[in-house]
Amino acid sequence: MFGTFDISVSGMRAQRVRMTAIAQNLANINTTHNDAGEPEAYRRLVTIMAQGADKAGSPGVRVAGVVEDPGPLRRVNDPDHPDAGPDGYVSYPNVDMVTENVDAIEAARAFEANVAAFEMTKSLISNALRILA
Amino acid sequence: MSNWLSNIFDRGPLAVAGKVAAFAEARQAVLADNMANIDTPGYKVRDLPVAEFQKALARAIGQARTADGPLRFEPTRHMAVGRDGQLTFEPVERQDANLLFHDRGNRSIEQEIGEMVKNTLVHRVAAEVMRKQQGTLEAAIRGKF
Repeated sequence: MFGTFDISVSGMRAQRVRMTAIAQNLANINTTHNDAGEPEAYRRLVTIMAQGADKAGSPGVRVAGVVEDPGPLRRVNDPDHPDAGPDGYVSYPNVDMVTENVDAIEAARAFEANVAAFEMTKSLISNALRILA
Repeated sequence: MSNWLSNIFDRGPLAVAGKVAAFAEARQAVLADNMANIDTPGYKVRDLPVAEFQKALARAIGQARTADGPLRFEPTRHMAVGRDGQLTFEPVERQDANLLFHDRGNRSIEQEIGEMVKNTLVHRVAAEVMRKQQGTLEAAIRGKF
């Protein structure tokens, strides 16, 4: 019975990690340099989720990894930009604000859904307890 | 304590519920500690050994039943038994978390809340059992229901 709580908790955690990746994407929507300060466009992070809270076969969900989106970068013609290539194009991150915002709403709703499931389990057990009291 | 009184308090549901409630209270403190340290770099999430306590409790109940004696615990790896039967627990690092931060910490506020809710429910069950037992005792003392 208490395992149901763990399922909802794993869902909340996974959605929070996803939300972190989305926030990171939005913050880096114009980032053209990498960690080391070299010209390299930021790549959108995608959260991969897998079944099983701890390992495969257990109930719940886990974050299998946060990986870079290999999709094409946004190319903008701006020859005067310091990061412009020989062709005059600057590579900007493959982050789309609308996509990220929609993802953020979805992650927040999914988190809420897990909270709701958690509360339902709680009231279920509390109701069972009323028989005793 | 006179024999008939210790029969009521040292064995049976009251004794078991008392130990369960004491464990839940001690565990709540550890969980609160985890929550307070949710942003502490390098902090490792700790917990009381729940499975170990439950196993020890099951063994103590079984022994009390076969010997028809009081509930008596044997010390285990992370649990010490005082002279008066008081149990003290040693917190252990929690291993189950799958999420690691750069400082190798495994904290998650959701998990702590989840564990706290479970722990609170266990405590409530124990408290209700004790309340029920008390009601029965009072009824027996007054001689009417």
